[in-house]
Amino acid sequence: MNRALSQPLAPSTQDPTANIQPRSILHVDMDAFFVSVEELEDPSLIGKPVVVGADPEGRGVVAAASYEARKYGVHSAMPIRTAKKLCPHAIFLRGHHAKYGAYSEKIYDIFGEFTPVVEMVSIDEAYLDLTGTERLHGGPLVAADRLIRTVKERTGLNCSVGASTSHLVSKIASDQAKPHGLLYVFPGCEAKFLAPLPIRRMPGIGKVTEPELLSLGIATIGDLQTYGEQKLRERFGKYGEWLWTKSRGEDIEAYQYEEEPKSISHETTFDVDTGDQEEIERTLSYLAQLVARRLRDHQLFARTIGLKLRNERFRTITRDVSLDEPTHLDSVIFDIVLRLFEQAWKREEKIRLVGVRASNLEHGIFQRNLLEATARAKFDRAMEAADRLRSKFGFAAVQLARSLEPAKPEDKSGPAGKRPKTPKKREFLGRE
Amino acid sequence: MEFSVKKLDILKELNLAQGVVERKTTLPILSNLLLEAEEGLLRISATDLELGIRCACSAKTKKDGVGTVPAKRLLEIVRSLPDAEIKLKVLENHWVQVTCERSSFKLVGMAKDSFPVLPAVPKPLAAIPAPVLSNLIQKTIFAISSEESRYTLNGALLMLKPESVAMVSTDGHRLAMIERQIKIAGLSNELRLLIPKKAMGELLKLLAESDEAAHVELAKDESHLFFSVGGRILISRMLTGQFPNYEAVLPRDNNRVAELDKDLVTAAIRRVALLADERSRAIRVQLDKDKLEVFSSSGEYGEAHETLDAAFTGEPLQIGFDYQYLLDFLSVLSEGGKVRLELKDEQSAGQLRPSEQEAYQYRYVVMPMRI
Repeated sequence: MNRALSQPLAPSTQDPTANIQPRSILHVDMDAFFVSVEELEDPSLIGKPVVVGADPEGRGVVAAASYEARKYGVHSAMPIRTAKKLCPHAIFLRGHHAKYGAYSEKIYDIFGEFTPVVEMVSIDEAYLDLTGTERLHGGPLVAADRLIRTVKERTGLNCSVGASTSHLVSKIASDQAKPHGLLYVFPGCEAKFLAPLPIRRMPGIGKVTEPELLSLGIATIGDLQTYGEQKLRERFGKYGEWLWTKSRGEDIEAYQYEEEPKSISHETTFDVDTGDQEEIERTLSYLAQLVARRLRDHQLFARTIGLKLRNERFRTITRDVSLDEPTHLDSVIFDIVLRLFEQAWKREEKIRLVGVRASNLEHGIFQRNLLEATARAKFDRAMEAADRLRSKFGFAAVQLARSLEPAKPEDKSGPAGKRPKTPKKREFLGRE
Repeated sequence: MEFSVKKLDILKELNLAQGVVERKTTLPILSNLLLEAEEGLLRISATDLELGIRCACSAKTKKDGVGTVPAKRLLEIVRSLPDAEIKLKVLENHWVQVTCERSSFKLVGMAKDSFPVLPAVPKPLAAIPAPVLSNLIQKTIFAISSEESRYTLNGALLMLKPESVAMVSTDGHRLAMIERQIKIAGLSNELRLLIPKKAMGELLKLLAESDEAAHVELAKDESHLFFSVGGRILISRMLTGQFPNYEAVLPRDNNRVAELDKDLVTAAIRRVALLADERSRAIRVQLDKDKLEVFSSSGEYGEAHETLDAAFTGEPLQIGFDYQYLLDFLSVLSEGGKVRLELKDEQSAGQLRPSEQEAYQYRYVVMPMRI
């Protein structure tokens, strides 16, 4: 190749990341979120072992456990029957998911006052990128402290915060800080902070990799650091590079941080596998609304809508449809997933999980439709009004009729023993 | 079969038939023409099963008969020959010999029996002057959807009444409608026909070959439409299904009206479009007192802006449009003159029409883009 041609045209030869200051990332995790919300609503629960989750006689899982229950070894995602065995005197609650949603939205709003770059990774957990907000909020430590106080003041809930220059370190730090704590890892100290931790604590190292690393004599993240980049790459290839970068507390995606989602999806697993078409459709309707709401929050429109189904034998299928006019409307998304569901569902099979996904997201520059203009404009206005009500009264305040249960039973599920037999409720544990 | 024809006579018909011949060679016989020589007349037929054409020219027939020949090859051969008498003769095994002066060709034909039978033309229902139908088609064909899934939008709706004729087309984003008061011979009731886009395109070519005073005779059977003009017949499979209720989307209260010089606004949009986002083709149109501004911007290439004088006194408005949709309409208008842009708000359909409407009432409804 001609040497002269290979020279860059502009004198921008330095590392483009050289002038970028270290990032300032907070990981905020609500403490025993579901249980804390229940305690706010019913203070008599405070100080008792409380477990929120599926029917303790069924085969669902624990969604959240109070710190008192955790002393007995109960933790979230554990089969609920195990929890019952470990702590038979715990108060088992089915939970009020609409309320959790409403609190989650309040918290989200508070986060938004600290930075525009908020990434809610689940209903009770978020990353906040505070880079460049120092003059506004002071350093990360000051900002994090104020954040914890603000959340407590306005919602009555406790949270824990990890602060550092990367997502990974902040995530681990917030875990270390629990409950109701704050842990700040100074820039430059990331590797030192991680070194003594067992490798299993690092997200991305699981059942498969752990034994392999242990067999190499790597037990802590510090061992990973000393094992060295070269050898890790030789042994694990691309994954080795990933391990090396992570072991030093750096984000792989540093400097190309996506502020915008590429897709938005919500899914949920039924308590009991179901072949009840109405129940499935009701759930799809609810999920469609969650997806639509988040699209509107991000001011995005989806050109592709997808359905995910998992049957009782764990066979998972996904179906996508591309739209002629991108949408962020509940009813449009629901109509599509309903059609996809009708095409994909074999009546004899029971469904374990359903999900709704919006992808191919764009910024709302699109050609409007002429033939359905009136109907769509009406719905646009209706959804604006619905969203206003929802931000005041919570997501459940306004619902598509299809997502409501017929002759809705009383929504007061007390402790398990006293609870009257009501139809199975959905759980929304599967949020990303 | 044996006959001779003048090159220019047969060439014209071959050109018209070629538009109908199947391009994909799914059924080999559909790439062929059916030639029928009978008593001083050569009839040429072609079909792709959606569309069929039958045309004819005078010939010196030596021996009546039938044959088929590869359409494209015959057209290319005839086109290349000198302007002289061309002889065609069926040989054994369906081969067809073409000779002209010192040139000679032998073409591989196929058995005439495998050529699909074109339906017979029923009694005509109405007759429209050829230039009128031609104008209706030209003013609407561009707004027909080419998305095959939108079956009923793959054609235009022709509405014939004893005293008027109208044509409407839409692709779901814009709609073109043109009508004219005119006595339609032979019609007592309203007749609504959905004509496929491809048929309209071929019909335009047929109309271009017919003289000003000619009339197009319309007929239909259960599944076909028939258009006869100047001795040629175009047969189209009918589009079934319900054309959308277009009347419901015609704007009624668009009272922000700007009057624009048609040629100036066309040129301005063309220029500004050069820097519009290539994928969305969005431009922003801004109406203010006595002026109209057009903006574009593309993340990749930059932005453009142009200001035009416009007779406008209403409330200012900003609205987004797909520039191609605007140009499609503006470029079928005749040179010069003024055009009215009638808007309501940034999310309702806009309407465009020529300011001076004489024989024809022409309107174009276009949905804005959300920008």
